[in-house]
Amino acid sequence: MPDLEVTDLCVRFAGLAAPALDVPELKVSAGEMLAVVGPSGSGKSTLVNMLTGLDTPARGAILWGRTNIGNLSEAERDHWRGRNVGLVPQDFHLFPGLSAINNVLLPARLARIASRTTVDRAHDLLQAVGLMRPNQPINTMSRGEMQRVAIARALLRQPAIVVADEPTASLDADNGAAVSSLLILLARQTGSTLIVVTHDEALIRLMPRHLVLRNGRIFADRVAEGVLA
Amino acid sequence: MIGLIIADLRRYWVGALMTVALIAMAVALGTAIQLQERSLRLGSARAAEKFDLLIGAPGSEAQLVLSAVFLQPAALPLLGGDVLADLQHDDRVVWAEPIAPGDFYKGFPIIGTTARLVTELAPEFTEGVVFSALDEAVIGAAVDLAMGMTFAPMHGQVEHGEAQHDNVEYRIAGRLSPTGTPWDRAILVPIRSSWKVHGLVQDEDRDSGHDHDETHASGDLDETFVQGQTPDIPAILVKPASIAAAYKLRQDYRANEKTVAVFPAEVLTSLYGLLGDVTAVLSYVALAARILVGVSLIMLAVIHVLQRRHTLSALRALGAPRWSLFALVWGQAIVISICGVVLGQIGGLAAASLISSHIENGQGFSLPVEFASTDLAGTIALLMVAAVFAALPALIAFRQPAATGLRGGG
Amino acid sequence: MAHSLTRRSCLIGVASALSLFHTREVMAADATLTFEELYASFSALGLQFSDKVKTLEGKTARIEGFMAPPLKAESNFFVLTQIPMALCPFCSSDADWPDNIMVVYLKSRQTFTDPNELIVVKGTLEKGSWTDPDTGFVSQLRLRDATFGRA
Repeated sequence: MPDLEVTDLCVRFAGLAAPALDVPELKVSAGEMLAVVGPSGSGKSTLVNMLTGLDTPARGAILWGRTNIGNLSEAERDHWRGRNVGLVPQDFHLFPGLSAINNVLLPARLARIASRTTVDRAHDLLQAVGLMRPNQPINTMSRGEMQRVAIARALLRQPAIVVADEPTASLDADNGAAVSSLLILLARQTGSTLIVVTHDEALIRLMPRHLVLRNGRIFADRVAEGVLA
Repeated sequence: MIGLIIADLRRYWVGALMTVALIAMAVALGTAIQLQERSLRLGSARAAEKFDLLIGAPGSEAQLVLSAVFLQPAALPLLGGDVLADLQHDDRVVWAEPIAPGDFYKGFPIIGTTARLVTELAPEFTEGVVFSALDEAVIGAAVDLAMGMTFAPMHGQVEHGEAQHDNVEYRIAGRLSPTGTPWDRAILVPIRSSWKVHGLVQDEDRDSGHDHDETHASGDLDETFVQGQTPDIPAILVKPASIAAAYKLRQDYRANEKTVAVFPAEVLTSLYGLLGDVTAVLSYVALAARILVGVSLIMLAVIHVLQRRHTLSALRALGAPRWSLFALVWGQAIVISICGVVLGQIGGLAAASLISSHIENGQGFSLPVEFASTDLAGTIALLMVAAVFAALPALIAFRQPAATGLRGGG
Repeated sequence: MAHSLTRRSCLIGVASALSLFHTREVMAADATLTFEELYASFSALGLQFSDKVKTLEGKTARIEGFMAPPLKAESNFFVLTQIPMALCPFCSSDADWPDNIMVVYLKSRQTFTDPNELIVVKGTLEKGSWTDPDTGFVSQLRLRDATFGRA
């Protein structure tokens, strides 16, 4: 599992004088669990986009292990992300016409890597997130169930890095708590690095390290006391 | 991939269905025009199949063909009967027989002709035999009269209130098998009886007894036509002995001031030129409709893809390769196009069949509505064009940056 | 036909345009005959086929001429003449087979349009008396499996 090392990262958006993100240094060890917090517009999403190779910085290096994903071409980044990153997007992005299991398998199928083992793992993951009906259509599910499907999908390819964007934002407190612990539990099982962008105090309290962003800069980077890493 | 394409289409099934319907209608319009033109062309060609050479009195060649082949009611100028006698003794002729349209019974044209012509044009009988006496008639397959019944012909059509010839009655002796020509609606009678009906021949009964009700149209079926004793005839159908004979006969009887000779095929061929021009105009209209529908659907597809760009980018962020998103959008467009084109062809076929059967009922000859092998090439070309243009929205999906997928702000 | 080809090519576009192009390409490579080259001499015995016709028999040949008014509206054959039909090629001599015609048998039945255009026909050359079983018509010189287009 790769460590993350960010140096001299600077992201600018057209028409804005101030950089959207300015991170001179950030290190995350493999298997670490990090909550990225901060007000809207503080650069959380930009940071996540950079770390997952969805976008490239104007300047700086983003090293995952020995791979500087800032230097990769778009196709190479897609390929790298497919193998190394499991994303839990904010709006789930599930396909309503498909069943839970087919949604979990969809990206793998589109990439033509859905082997027998992958399908078995998808079934196991659905059980692990507490969904006992793999063939249930997505459109008949609650938001909490949908988020569980999205988590199962993110973990299908046993990614080294799991990134969740506001995983509890659209859930009630009970579901939010359940989803949070699931995410942490499953990431720990695979030894994945977990990066969670969130406003949810309950979730933040579960995370051992907090990265606080303000105006595109790291305002605070602290290890929470009393949280078991 | 196919499963996802179908699942996604089902999700947007109203839009997909409307798109398919739109494509189908645009395709059906062009297909119907093409099939209808072919139907009219092949139907008329096949109806005239056995009519090699027609000889008539000078006048409209088209009218001669329409009256003698397609049995359209019209008064043809008459031709001297000697021409028939000449032709029957010509070495270049296999057979030459008269065709004399004129009277009607219950809307069915009555054609005076000979037993030879009847058996040449329609060798098969479903019931009975060809007429063997002057008061006998043979009916075409589509004439719904009973075998053995007797009738008196009307001059002109009933709708026009024409008078009944009360000096003649025919008994139906035979019914022909269907030929798919206007002759299926005809009542065929011996030409000598038509001459009698119209007073073109000196009827012995008329001279002596004046008692038509007793002796109507009776007598032997004499089908030899002698120089100087044959009354005038509207048209003669000739079967030439060879290709050369056909062209020579045509030339000879065109050179003769008192006659005109024409291949029904050449009249039809010039009509096909006209029909082709009309079809071309209609086809351009249909093509314009297809282009219009095509352009608006491409625009709709682009809008649709742009509206869904977050989903598509999210799929990419989740690990789906770009080409798979291209394939997804492209595949959907192609599935819709194929459905639309296939339904359009079926719709066009249905429309053309409907129009053709309507004309068939009126005109009596069959109009075959059929696809030709070239249509397949056209359909494939159409689908290829659709596939090329469907690549545009697919390319937009391909080019969506992965980053836009996850969320708007933050 | 030439008309309908252009019409159709507008409709189905690429496919038929390509096939037309293809036909022309092939035609250019084939032996070209003219009506003057068909017969060697006029003798008391009648027409004698030329050496060129004898060599080309069974091979693909192309020839230009006019379509005579068709005998059948839908058929697989037509008469190709050296001169437009208004001049009646059959009427110049008493012979049943004049020296300036040829019967063209097409690959499939079709209808025709304008007979007054100069056309170019390509097909397999065949000589000798043959009676068409469908029509009973006898011909001496034929092109088989023929295709034609505007010259």
